[in-house]
Amino acid sequence: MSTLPVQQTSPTFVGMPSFPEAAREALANTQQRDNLRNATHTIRAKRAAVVAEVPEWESLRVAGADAKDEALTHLGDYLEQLEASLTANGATVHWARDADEANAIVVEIARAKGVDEVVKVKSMATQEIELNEALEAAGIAAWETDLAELIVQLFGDRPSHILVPAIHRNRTEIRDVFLREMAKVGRPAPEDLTDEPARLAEAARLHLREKFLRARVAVSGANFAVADTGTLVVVESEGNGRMCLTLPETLISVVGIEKVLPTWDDLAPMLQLLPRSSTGERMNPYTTMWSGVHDGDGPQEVHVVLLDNGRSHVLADTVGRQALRCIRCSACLNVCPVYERTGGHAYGSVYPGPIGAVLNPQLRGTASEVDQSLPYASSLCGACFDACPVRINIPELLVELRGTVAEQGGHRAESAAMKAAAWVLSDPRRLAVAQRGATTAGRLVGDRTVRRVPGLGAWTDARDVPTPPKETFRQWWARERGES
Amino acid sequence: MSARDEILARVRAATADVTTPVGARGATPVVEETSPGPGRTLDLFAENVADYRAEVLRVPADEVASVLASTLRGRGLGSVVVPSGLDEGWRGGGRDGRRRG
Repeated sequence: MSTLPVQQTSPTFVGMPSFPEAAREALANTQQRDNLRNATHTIRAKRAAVVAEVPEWESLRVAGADAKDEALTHLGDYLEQLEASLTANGATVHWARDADEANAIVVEIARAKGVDEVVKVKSMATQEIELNEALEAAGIAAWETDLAELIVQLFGDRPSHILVPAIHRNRTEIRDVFLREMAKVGRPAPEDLTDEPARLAEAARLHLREKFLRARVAVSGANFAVADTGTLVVVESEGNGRMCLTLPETLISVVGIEKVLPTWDDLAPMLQLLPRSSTGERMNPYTTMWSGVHDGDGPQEVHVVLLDNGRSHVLADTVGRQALRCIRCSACLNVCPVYERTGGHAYGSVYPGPIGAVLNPQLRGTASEVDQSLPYASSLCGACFDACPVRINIPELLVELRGTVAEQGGHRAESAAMKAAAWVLSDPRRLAVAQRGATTAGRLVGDRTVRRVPGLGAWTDARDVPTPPKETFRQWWARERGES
Repeated sequence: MSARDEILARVRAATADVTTPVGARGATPVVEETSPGPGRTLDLFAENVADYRAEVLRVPADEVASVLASTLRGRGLGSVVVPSGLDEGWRGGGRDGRRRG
């Protein structure tokens, strides 16, 4: 394991229970399971249809993975090039080792501008560092402007999906929270609001417009940071991003160091891969690109905060570093049979689903209960690898990480059972003894089903134990042929 | 050490195993797509825009102004905003609102 520092688990997720424990609660929520099933199946079908339209899809996946690999394996060089290009374009570049440093930089800029609020473009990096909480602690309100993020914020809830963070809420719940909460933080929702999507969107648009036109500072992330041109890219569906990225005078973008792409041309495969994988659209409705500052056009002060926060630790693992290719499309969540049932909260991080199960234990290390359990939050069916637009071999990483957890002494009972099994199976005489024991048990159990074995609670709670055979093949052979 | 120098040192240490030089992959690879020809491309565009619930009207170049005018009239619109650089021919006989005042 690398000695480079891991990410500190953010306050929200400290002390999270293990995945199976947290999942149990989510599984009992039938409303949420219903919402999740509908939403994931709809996006899944849309994605499959638009991916099938592109005969070059596999070549695009290879090109996307290659572009990220080129950037990641020479990250030092490309980060320096990105910094130089950004600076030449008039942007100010900041570097942040961890969440606290990044938050302090953003708070300081906002304070220097004398504002008590910022508008925000949906961004995983700022969720990861819990920037909103840091701004709030400094007396600065951070308004999420993505519709689903706004819903989550009004609920005082946590996002449960990378792309559709309010996937666990339905229309009626959303109408109710708009009526209850909007008035407390700005323009109230119309009193006759219904749960029709068009009416809900209109209420959000009116509520947000007031904030777009008033805000002097915006905070964003970036989907891509192009090293050779010093261009940041945000793709989105609602136009709220475009408003934040163009209207306020000051723009601060928090960008993970793995977001860098070597060249402008590398955007070509990425912009084909991302929307089809993410929303099942051929192209996302809004693509905003900005290269520093331009007179009389857009923000007049552009800050870029380059964030490590455990990424260099992931990079040091020659197998694990492929997880840094992730472009946060969420295709792996939507196809995952585990995510579909548990939802995102059980993963104990802003990165849920299969990518979260491999990214979190690498970013944060495998010291906590939840990070030790995440590599097991999978049936290893492989659907995530097939869906990943940048070919991250998630099942391979899950198995690697299970090895890491087992070696450090996690899952002791399972390790002991496996060692005992290896000892028995490595010697035919030991196996024969064990088989005689099993067939004796088989005769005792008869045709009854074994529902539960004391001491194996977690395993047998959800599964029947296979009934032991009355005779094994070796015993049958010896009986029929008279030899052993 | 500054945050910048430390992060750069970290990522260089993390990639110490890499032996290929930067940019060794050569020119950025391009995934080629064969054009189905201008006619088919235009059809595909119209299909996809219609799929996004737009109403698509396909008209010869010299009918743009009249179709625009009748479409606007059909919606009861007496004035619209236009971007600078709009093809003058598309405006047809429409008055320039800026000159009214």
